[in-house]
Amino acid sequence: MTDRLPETGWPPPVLDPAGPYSEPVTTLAWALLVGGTVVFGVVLAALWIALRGSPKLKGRLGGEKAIWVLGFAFPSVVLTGLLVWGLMLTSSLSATRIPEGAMRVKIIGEMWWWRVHYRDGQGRETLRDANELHIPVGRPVLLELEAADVIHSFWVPRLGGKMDMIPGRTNRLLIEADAPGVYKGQCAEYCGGPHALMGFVVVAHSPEDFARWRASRVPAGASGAGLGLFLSSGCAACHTIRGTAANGLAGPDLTHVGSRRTLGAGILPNNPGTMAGWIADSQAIKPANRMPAYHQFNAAELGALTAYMVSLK
Amino acid sequence: MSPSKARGMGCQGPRLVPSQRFRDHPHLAERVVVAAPFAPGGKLRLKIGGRLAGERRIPRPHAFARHAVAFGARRERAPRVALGPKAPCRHIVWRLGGGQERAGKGRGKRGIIGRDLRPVGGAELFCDGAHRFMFAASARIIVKLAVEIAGIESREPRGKAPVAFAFDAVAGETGGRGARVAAAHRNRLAGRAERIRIARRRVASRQGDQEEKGCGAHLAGTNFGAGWFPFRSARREAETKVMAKGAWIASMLVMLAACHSPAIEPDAADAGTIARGEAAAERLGCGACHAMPGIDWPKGRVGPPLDSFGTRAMVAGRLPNEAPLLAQYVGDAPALVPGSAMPAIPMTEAEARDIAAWLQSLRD
Repeated sequence: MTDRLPETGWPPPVLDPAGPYSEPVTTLAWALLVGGTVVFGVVLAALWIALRGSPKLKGRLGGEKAIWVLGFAFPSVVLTGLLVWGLMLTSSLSATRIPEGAMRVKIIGEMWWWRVHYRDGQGRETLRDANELHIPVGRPVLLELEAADVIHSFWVPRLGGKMDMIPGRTNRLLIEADAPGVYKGQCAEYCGGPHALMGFVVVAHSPEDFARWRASRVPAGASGAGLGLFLSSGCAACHTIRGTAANGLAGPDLTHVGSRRTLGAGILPNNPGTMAGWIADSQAIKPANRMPAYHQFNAAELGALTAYMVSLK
Repeated sequence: MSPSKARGMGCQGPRLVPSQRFRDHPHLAERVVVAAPFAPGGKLRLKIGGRLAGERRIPRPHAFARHAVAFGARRERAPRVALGPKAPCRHIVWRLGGGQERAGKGRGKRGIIGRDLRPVGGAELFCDGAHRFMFAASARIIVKLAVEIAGIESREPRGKAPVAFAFDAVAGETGGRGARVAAAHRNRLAGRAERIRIARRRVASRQGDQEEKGCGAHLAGTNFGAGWFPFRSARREAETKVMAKGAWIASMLVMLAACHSPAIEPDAADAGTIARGEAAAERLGCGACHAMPGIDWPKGRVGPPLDSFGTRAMVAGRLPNEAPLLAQYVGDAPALVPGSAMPAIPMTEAEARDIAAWLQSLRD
């Protein structure tokens, strides 16, 4: 279902809006760039006149009138205009007014991954996942952003603005996708060691596909050859697989890990090869992440565990 | 293939030896002597480079060229030879600073082949036993290339002469299996055996003269070497030129190919395939377990690093490093090596083939 969705590469394009909450940001960025270039040109022209201009021009530039016009009136008008226009342009981005029918999701930044808690209209948690957010297209999504340890910043450039995640606070951000696709995100506030490897993925589905995806979120991993190994090797101390005895909370929920597009918080494609590599030595891939390298598995054990993880769709 | 850096199969790279060493060396068939005629001729150089670059990377052949020239100039160094940039071969420029007569004239001319054929160098390649087979295998590919290049270059009926010459040259060097194949090809393709024999006789006598003078870095019983390149007469100039070109190209290419691993594929992958393979390897996250050249991150430590994969003889310690087998292994390792910790990875057959081609192109 999600395999055929268009995907943009890395890093995510920041000037290619794909939703109503990122378009004003892009427009503003271009306007500031163009306006800044014009002003810079004016300044350079003035500099040229001061250095090389004819005495007549120099005289004009040095007159009192020029100071009033260029030094006072021009910046006042331009900056005030920009401020008013910018505020109008971006007023729709503010999450102080929640649009009708918005989907609610709480996302908690951790070092160095993301908890994703889907919520219903009353704020009750309906589903837990990690590092990947599935949304329907054409419907605003209210993100309630928190942080568990240090300041992170949630940023999916094509879908919305950038919002810090601050411990002890809940910040709100609206995002929306116009078309189905896979949108990459990235932690945008330095949060320690592998900050650069703290990616995020938003998958936007058509409403029907989204309903299908939501209905498929049924824990599937109650049995399997690798489950015993998962429980006995210590994985369950940090990871939860709903429907099994594994209920650790320190690491990402793995109930549907096999269906995720990425591993390691948006950084690796998810296939049996990368899964095995991540389990055996995640430290080589994402140095200093909090999952230790599991060097003790032999090939058969690693294979069984990998197969089990991949089967958790 | 710098002289100081021994390659996997024991080829030490070309190095300079006094000419009398040629006679003492026990394995005649393992020597290659190269003459490097010089003069304007950048066109041909570009053709060779282009063809080679499309085929595979050639690590630092200019190191060889430098020594060849140095030998010819009877100097320890050849300061007038500017080294080209690193491989691929497309970028390599040999600047030969003139032959013995022109030594001391300062900056050299660009180009390698031309009318004014003159020996400027020779070098010897030492090989171990494994290299001999490799040599024979790669020589076939090389000669095919030489055929094409010479044909294009000569644009005349005698264009076939250098073909035969090249085959002969290869046959003389490789011995055994390769020689028989090459000889058969020669007879089929050349069609001008009579003329070639004539040329060879002349060459032989000329070679003797040169040997007396101690100048020829050449071999009795082999058909190419420095000695007979200066052979030149008004009547046969064009013919000699073409033949010498073919021989020179063949010998040069054989030299280059000889320092590759035995895993050279008969139809080496083109650059597009290799690039696609690298992209696929990155996309599929092979780096989660393997450190790979050209891919900065991730550099996994679960499996072996894949540097110089194209020079390895074995895959996973079990399988010969051959493209079809490697492609199969990349996609589904446990099917070929039961018990392997490398799982079957979902990918298309085309992706597996591309990745295998890319892996085999890793030769530095």
